[in-house]
Amino acid sequence: MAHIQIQDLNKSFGDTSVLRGIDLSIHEGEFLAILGPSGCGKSTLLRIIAGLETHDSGHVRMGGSIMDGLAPKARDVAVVFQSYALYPHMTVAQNLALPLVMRETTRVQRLPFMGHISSVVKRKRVDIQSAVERAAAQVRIAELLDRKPAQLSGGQRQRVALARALIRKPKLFLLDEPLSNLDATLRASTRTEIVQLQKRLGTTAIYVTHDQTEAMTMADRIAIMIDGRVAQVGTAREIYDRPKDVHAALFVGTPKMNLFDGRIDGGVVRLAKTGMVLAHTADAIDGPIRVGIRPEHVVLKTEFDEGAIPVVETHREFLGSEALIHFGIGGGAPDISGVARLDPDALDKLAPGQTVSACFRPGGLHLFDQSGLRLELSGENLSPAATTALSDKETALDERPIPIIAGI
Amino acid sequence: MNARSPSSLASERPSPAPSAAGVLKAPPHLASTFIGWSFVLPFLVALSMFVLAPTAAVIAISFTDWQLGRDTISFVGLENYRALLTARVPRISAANTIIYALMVTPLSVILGLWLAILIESSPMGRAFFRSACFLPVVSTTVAMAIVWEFLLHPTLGPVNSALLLFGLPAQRFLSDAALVLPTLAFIAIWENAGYTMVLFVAGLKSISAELYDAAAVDGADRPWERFWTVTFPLLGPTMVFVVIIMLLRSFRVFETVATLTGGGPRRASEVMLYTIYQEGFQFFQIGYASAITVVFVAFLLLLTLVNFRLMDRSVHYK
Repeated sequence: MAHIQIQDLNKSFGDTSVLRGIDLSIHEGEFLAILGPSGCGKSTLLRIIAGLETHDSGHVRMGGSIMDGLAPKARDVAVVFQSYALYPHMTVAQNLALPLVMRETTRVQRLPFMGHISSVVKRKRVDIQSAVERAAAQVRIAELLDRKPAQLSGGQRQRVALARALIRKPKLFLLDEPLSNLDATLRASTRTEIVQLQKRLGTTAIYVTHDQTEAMTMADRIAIMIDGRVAQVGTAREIYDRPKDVHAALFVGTPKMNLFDGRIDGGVVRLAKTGMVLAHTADAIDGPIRVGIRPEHVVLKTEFDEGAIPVVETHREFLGSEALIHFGIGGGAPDISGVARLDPDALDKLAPGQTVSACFRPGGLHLFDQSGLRLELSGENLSPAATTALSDKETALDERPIPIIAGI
Repeated sequence: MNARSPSSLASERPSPAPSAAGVLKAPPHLASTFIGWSFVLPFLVALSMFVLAPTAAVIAISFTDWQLGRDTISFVGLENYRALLTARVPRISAANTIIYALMVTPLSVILGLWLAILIESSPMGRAFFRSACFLPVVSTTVAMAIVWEFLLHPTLGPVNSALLLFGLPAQRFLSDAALVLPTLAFIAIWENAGYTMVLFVAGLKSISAELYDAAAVDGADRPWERFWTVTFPLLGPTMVFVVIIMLLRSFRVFETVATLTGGGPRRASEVMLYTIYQEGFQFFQIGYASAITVVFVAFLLLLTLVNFRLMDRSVHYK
């Protein structure tokens, strides 16, 4: 259990700069997910924290002390690797025992037959044996101790890897996409199990993944990494509701946030293509911007209100609990496209190919400047079209039954 | 060969009808059987011509008194085998071969493994060192043997010059009965190490880097610990193969003996293949040579099987 602090960490492989000034602080006992697309440097960051890779500059602190340059075994961390990295020639019990054997016995004590000669070694071996049994019981693999990894299923191997990590009660767990080799059902149940285990042990954990569902469901906080930088750190809610930059906004949420070109002219925020007025602001910043809106904040209606955009449905997806309508704006060959999330019942009220009106829910707008950073505007950050259109029909977000056609 | 599945597939079709031209075609299952056999036949012909038939012939000849160039041949039963048990040369030869193999096999394996790990862990020049070590393997043994003969020459050879330079006595490497087998073994190790090195390099490359990472996190990060925790166990399957290949290769030693020593001095470098060659093609005792061959082959077969069994038990395959 430790408080981890990463300070201005840089790393490059040859000419490729992989990590550029990472600053990150992980509280004691926290479960932090590092979420990012492949190649963003998240695994390298994990390897640097583990001591498996050296960094060029910056510091890694663990519980106050600097870890830079220390060998992995001196850091008291445990890693669960993507491929599990179990020793294939050893039984499960031997796999679990190895970290303890290497740590608690000397080279001489590790020699064969020492258990018969020295009572100290004998006692240590008994202790290790009972630790192995305890760890195996914690992840429910007690009956597999005599098997070799090749005789185990993917899920069982994963448990062995977890047990090997927790057996010596490390200060920090590092998990590198540990669920990516499991099938969907197993992944969902293992997710909960890992979180419960981590909370029970109270050990700080860093979990690297490219899967936003894993990050959002498991972690206390998420660090979004893009191109070797931390784009945003926060709870799943914070990141989803107030993405700090356009990459974080696009990376979190399925389907992706809709992104349109917009501009601000004298305090009026408009869609660049149609000139539709989206919001008013008191801030005097003019120029092109990007406008983001999550699919559930797009409202489709059959009636046309003033200010609403006429859109044509191009494709629909029924997903059971929700439905997605892909739409295009701008006549025959739509050059702006977007997605709306609807109640599945609303699908019936909408004929395929029909032209409908789209407006945006209040508070659903995300504005980003040209460099991709979030713009926080003072004043009414509201879609006037949406306010007028919604005022009489729906006011609260959780009002599911909507008269005509509506989002969630 | 199992031709059943294609033929059963084919027989599901309706029975063959005469084609429009009225020509009867072979039933489909016959056709697929024929295709199956036509794939296997070339191999079967070659196997019987070059392996099975000669082996059978050697076994048959070993029960006769046939001499090369003689027209008469008569069955002598186990006479050749009885002679073999009492003869002096085959016994010396067998002992020499075993001693030679016991020197060559372990040292070739250890040296090759050492070279492979050294080369793979070196930051640069891997391709160069790999090729350099592999050169002795691709060169003709007889040609290399002649080079070694010059290098080890009692008076002209640079090896002896070097010994003299350090104040050591010059050695007659190839004509000293105590030195000749170790010298031949040394040449073989020099030649084999490149071969075992290449096999070990392939084995090393198949070991996942994550295992070394796991070992480092678990506390096994010193070179020796890494070797015993990860490298050596995971090279197991390669090791079985390399040891067996090296045993068979060293039992088969012939070229260096024939080129450099002719089995001498005083039979100190007499080895099995050379004895067989002499009995058969210099003394023309083909029947007797065949009997030695049969015993030799049976021994090698047994050795390989025992080896496989013993090593297989302690090796893990993925």
